[in-house]
Amino acid sequence: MRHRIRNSQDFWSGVMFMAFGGLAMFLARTYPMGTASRMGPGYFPTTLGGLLALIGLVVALRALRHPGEPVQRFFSAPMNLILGSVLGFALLLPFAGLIPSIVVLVVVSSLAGGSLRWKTVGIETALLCLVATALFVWGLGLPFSLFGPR
Amino acid sequence: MDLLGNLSLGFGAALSPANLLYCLIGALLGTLIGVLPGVGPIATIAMLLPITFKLSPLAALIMLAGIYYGAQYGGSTTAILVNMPGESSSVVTCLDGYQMARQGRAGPALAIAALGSFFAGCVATLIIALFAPVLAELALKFGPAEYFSLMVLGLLAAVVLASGSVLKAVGMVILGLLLGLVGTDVNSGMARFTFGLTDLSDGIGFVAVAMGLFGLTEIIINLEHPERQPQVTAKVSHLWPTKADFKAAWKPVLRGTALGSILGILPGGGALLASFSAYTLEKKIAKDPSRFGKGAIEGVAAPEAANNAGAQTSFIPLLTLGIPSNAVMALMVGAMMIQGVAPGPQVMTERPQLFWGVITSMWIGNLMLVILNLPLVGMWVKLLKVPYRLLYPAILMFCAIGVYSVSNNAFDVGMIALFGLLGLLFFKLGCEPAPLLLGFILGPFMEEYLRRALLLSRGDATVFLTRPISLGFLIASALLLLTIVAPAFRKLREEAFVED
Repeated sequence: MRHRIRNSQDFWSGVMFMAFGGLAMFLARTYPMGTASRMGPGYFPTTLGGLLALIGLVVALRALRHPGEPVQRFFSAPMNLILGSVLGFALLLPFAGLIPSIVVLVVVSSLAGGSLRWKTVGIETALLCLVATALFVWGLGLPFSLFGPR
Repeated sequence: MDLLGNLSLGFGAALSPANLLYCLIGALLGTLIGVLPGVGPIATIAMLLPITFKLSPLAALIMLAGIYYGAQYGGSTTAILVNMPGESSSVVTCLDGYQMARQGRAGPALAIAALGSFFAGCVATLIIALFAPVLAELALKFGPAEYFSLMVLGLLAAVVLASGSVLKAVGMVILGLLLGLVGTDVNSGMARFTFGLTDLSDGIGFVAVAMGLFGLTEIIINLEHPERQPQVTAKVSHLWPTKADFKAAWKPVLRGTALGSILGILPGGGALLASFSAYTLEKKIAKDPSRFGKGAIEGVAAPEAANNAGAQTSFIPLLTLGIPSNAVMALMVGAMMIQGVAPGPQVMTERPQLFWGVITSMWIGNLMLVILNLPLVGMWVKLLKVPYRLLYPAILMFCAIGVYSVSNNAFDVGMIALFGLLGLLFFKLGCEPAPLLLGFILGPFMEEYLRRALLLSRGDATVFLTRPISLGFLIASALLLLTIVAPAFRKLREEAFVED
């Protein structure tokens, strides 16, 4: 029984809501509350955070009584590679320029697709670099530097 | 101005060669991206948003509307050919559409879907032209209390429509509202939830949120489950439906259109609810319900007509009240604001050319989809045959560049990764992300309207109950809540979502 509860989707959803609600209330504790007629910046977020935490509590408690679907494994190689490739693009872009960022994005994300064929990945990378340059830089005139910082 | 005058003003604006071209490009690109498996209208619009930046507001909105219909249409094509709904509103199209394709009738299924959608689009355009001015006039009487109550109603309606637990959907809405508050508070100038980062002082970019939750998450899930990746089996040989097909389909198209148009206007409604209810209705009134799920043409015609009608009439609350009724419309609000157009009743009176131009271009966009896409079906099929491992890096690249171009800030690209991670968490916990996006867009508005309403009433919270229109919205919300709790409705709702 205990095992099933610990794995249930609903239970962890409740925990997630409580965590987010609690975090919101914690962060908003320094924002002035104001009064109802003159709401301060803390009024709405604190109310919402409390409401969210309350809903999370109810969801989690109900999950204790009705164990539901188990949560699947969270971390996976595709997840790490895809998120990593996007993060890499974001970090590289301001310093290295568009082309190196695309190369990193496409090559790293391609690793997530199982067996990697270097030739196809190479061709695809080159093709996407060309398309991006032609469409976004030459065509739409977006302010990208192809190589190096902007 | 009368209806004809309005429409001719609109056609005058929308039929300029340049705008026609943008409409065409939008519809084509929308279909092109929307056909890709796992890419729904939200991700499509978010991805293609940057190409509209340099355009005039009218041209940009025309193009965006074209992209939206194109993406819808592309989603149906994928649903029929590979049994993979690109978006939730094509889920029911899969049921009979894919069966038709397996029986070698992919062509007629696609044609009926296109023609049914076109018919529905024509009717819905007329409905918008008729009702929008009336509603906009009513909306001009709205004060902050009315707007706040209306938003409560809209958010609750979105919750009812989310599949799965209602309570979890409410949680997602509130989480969305909270995320929407990140950034500088307009009234006090105080930075909230920014963790001291200046990149967050303007709030989290909505495009990054949408792309992370709906684009990135989907890609990761598809890669984790290779069996979800599409396999094209169907061949499209003949396209034109037989006489018997037409005979069987025209009534469902009519019913679907009517149902879709009504459900689209409701807050929280739109394409998804429309297609589900239309399918359920057809199955209920059919002489032989057992044919459904085995390739019944009514099961394609009705939901396709309904989802297009619903997709279109869901523009009504957006254009007249400035309130998005679903996640796609929420994205449209963002797009309009980038163009410097604040959605709301004043758009119609202050910029009638823009307003009516967009409405008439909806009809033109639908026409283009029929003329263009039926001959192009062969090309879409080829596109579907491109292996997924080649497709997704390209999708990622367009997402990343698209988000960057909104703000010229690489920080926002990092936010896609963050929201991709969050989206994955939501998926694994069985929480639906669409209510969150709606809350995210409405968050700042809701706070502002609540603040103004209470300021005007000097802190008296009963203002929401003493103003009749506001009270009406709240009563509707209460009824809605009641139907969720009521066991009979609950069972119906569970049945509706069992099909996906």
